[in-house]
Amino acid sequence: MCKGYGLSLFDSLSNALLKYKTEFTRRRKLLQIQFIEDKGESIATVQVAYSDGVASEPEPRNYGHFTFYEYENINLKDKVSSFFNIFDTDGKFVN
Amino acid sequence: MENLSIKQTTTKIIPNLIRIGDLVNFEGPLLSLFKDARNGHLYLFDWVDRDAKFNRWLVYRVTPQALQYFIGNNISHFELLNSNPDKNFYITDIENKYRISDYDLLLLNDLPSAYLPNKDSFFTRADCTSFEKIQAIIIRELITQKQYNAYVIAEKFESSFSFTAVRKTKFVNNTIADSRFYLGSKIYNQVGKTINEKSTFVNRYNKNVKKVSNAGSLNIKLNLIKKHA
Repeated sequence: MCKGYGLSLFDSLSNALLKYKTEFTRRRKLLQIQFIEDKGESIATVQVAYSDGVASEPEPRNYGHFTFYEYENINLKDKVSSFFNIFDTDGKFVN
Repeated sequence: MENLSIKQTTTKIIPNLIRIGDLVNFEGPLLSLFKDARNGHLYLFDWVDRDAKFNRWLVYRVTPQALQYFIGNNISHFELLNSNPDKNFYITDIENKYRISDYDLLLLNDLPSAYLPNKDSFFTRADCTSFEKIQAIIIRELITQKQYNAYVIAEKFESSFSFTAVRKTKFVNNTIADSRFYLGSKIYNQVGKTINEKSTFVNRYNKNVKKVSNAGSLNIKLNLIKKHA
């Protein structure tokens, strides 16, 4: 399956946050602004089940990233259990 | 996007470029390596800016040595950019759905500071989608240019070719006072043995060393053999 049609998910909040920080930090300043526009400022925690779709194996060397192809009529928004704010009110990373 | 001061349009480079692969890829290429088919020069396409219609790429030359240091995490992205041997920086704005080959390169008078990479940005193996291919190109170009320490390459990349390498060694009274392998400023190995103990080299790099001989007072010449995978 083409990865371009899948959703990029991570196997833990800490891995997702680390990947976000890595991608954000290495970008030039003006691209950092665009990165926030593209990716948002928070991370959603979602509990997915086998019945929700097809997933690739998490990649340990790539921050636990995996690609997820949700089945038709599955709405992942309904499965969001929490949101984590990546930046504090000063625009710095939340530890 | 940033306002630019353009010196001239360059039409000869892009038609001769062969895409090698991405050094950094995250949901698409961010830093891509190309080779000029005419002369073997390596060019990086470095994504630096965008608007609703165009992606802007900063294009500049890198040497295979600098690229090797970069993928070895010996230099940062910032240092890689500053190692550009001809100090020419080009820009090309590519509209979505169009190809690089549809455009020319614009030579800049000045490089905007906003386009300089962060100084603490280093190569990450997991983001490189063409590592083996890029590594092979680096080795090939290093060999072609003969500006390398081939011994280090053989050790580091386990390549399968033969050549002669030079090890920087200092002798005092027929004794090796200092002997190191260098890759740029990085020291790879250091020993202190008498010159008669040539087996030191052979033992450690047994599969590689075909012949060890003196090459002046400061060097030892190592004839290496093929190291098959």
